Amino acid sequence: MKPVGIIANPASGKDIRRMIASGATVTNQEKQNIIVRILRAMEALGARRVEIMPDNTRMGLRVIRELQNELKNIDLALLNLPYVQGTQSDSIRSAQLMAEQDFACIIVLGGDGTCRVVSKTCGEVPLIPVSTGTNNVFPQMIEGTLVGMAAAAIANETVTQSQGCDRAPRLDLRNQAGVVVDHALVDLVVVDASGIASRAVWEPETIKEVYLTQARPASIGLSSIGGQIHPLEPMSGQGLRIVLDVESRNGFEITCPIAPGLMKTVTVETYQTFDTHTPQVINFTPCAVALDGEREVMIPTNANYTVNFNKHGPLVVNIERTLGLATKSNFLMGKAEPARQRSR
Amino acid sequence: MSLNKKQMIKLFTNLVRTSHYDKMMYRRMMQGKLIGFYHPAEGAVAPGVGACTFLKKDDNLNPHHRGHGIIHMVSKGIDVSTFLAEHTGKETGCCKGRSAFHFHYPDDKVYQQSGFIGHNFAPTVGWGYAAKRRGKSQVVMNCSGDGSYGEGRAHESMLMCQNWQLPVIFFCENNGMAIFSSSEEMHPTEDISSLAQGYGMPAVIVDGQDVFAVAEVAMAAIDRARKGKGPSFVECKTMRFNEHDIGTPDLKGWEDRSEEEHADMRKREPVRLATERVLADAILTQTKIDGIHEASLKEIEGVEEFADNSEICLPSEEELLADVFVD
Repeated sequence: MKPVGIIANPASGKDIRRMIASGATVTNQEKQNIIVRILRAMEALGARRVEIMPDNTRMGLRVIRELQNELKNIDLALLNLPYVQGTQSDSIRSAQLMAEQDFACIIVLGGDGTCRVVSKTCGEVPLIPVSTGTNNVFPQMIEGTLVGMAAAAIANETVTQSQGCDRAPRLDLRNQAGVVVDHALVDLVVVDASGIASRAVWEPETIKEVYLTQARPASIGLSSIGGQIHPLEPMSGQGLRIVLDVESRNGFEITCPIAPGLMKTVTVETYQTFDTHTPQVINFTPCAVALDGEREVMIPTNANYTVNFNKHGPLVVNIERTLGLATKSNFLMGKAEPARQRSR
Repeated sequence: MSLNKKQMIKLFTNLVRTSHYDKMMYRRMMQGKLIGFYHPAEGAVAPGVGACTFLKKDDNLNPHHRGHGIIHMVSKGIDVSTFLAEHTGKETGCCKGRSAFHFHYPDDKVYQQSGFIGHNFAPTVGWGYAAKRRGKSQVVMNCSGDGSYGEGRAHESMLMCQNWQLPVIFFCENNGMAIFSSSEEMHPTEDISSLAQGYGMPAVIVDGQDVFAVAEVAMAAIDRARKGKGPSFVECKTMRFNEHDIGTPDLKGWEDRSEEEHADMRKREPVRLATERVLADAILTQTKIDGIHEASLKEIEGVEEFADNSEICLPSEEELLADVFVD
């Protein structure tokens, strides 16, 4: 049975949006609790090996200590990461190692930003994204026990990748040479900013162009702008481009939740859908490009960067479908300890 | 507000200046040219610069003890000639050369630097209370390390500041070490900001090696306090490159910190990271960066000359007692 990986971002759910909006804080104790619940479900359903990304707050180590006398089936260990930097490179390198070692799936605890960095190197290993971040469109807000059940079903191949997973799209940012410099899973936003600094985007007047893989009225964050004007399902095969201009005479204003507790009004100049064959040129330069809510790339004046819709993003486990298929396969039958044994 | 280019240049300049100031203090300590002791700040200069560069003269500042507060005070715009003179035991020192580390800058709202950990929390409540009563949008920037949050005073202070909605920023420079003890030994979680949640205080964790990230968060916290929205908590994850203070062994527990640990830490040296950033983002050219370094070294030369050319502090018994007792 292939191993399952867990990448829990110790920094998710703690950025400046706690200060300028009212973003929820997810403590690392709570992330540890989620991992414990995931592991208990996996133990009950026969998973064999799980490796957790080491991090500088030692979440994985604490979980191992907590469960060392409890887990009988699972060989639980920290991933052998040569050194921990305390930056997003830890997640990137961990996902790469898990892909190289052909893991069954990677459970990702974080927000959209965490899922994005993991998706850079996870290859064809499917992700199970669990929301512990701020703007959570890509990861689900779902109970860890259910996540563990789904991961176990994928690990022992009760449900195959093709049955239980969907292919998510992504937005590729290409430089003048046509090289993909980075990508976003949900939103790529062009911001009038001098630097990356705290990464978050919260001032609507600085947002110039928005590119989306999905736009749902019930989403939080920068993709909510699209959700209000042109709803787009995640697997629609199209992206959405929106140009904002506070001084526009032809535009219209909409009010949307660009961060938790932060309702802001933006002026939409134009919007249009686009597909894989129609690269979109970024017109506003110099700028910062925010990928899934975080400023990541600086584009110099007059540089010719494009945004490309790419249908071949990461594989993502559909938890509801996976558990439904697992149930049909009698995966859960006889797995729990019989009542008579429990009473001993 | 997110940072503009001018603000980024100011932050970069202060980062370079303070880094050179810290190196100067280290050098002078090794040369036997300082009285007392010195707690080097190398590796941990970005938090102080980010926290203090955009404070106003009227804002209260409790500097972190690392670098003896020189990082914070230089960033706030305080002339530190008298700081070095103080550390050199000269009459021109801010406390007439009699205190070394325990300096005092009342005109700049820096009232104390004490030798015991967590000393800052009780007066912070008082400063915050006074600032609120005065109603002139003053804030209190209360900087201290992760070790100080093991003190009971820290918790009483957070409780009172939150209950009374005082304009205080609890600014924790978490380098993961309290002298020889690692955070893992001293706290149930390495995220000290988790404590603020219990007091209903908004809390942010930021990369303390990235001066621009720190500054943006600090500015948001300062703005919040000025607007009367109460206290907040900022935790900067930072690093201590050297021993706790010059002369003590560089231990973690009973073991020397390894060469590998040092090598890993130095990959995230804050001046280097900021330099890469301003060059990549076309904020500054290499020529301008070189100019900032040269100007900083020249500024420090002047500060050293002032201290070296000042008279040594040799107070009479009468003068000493006059400064201690009040009739």
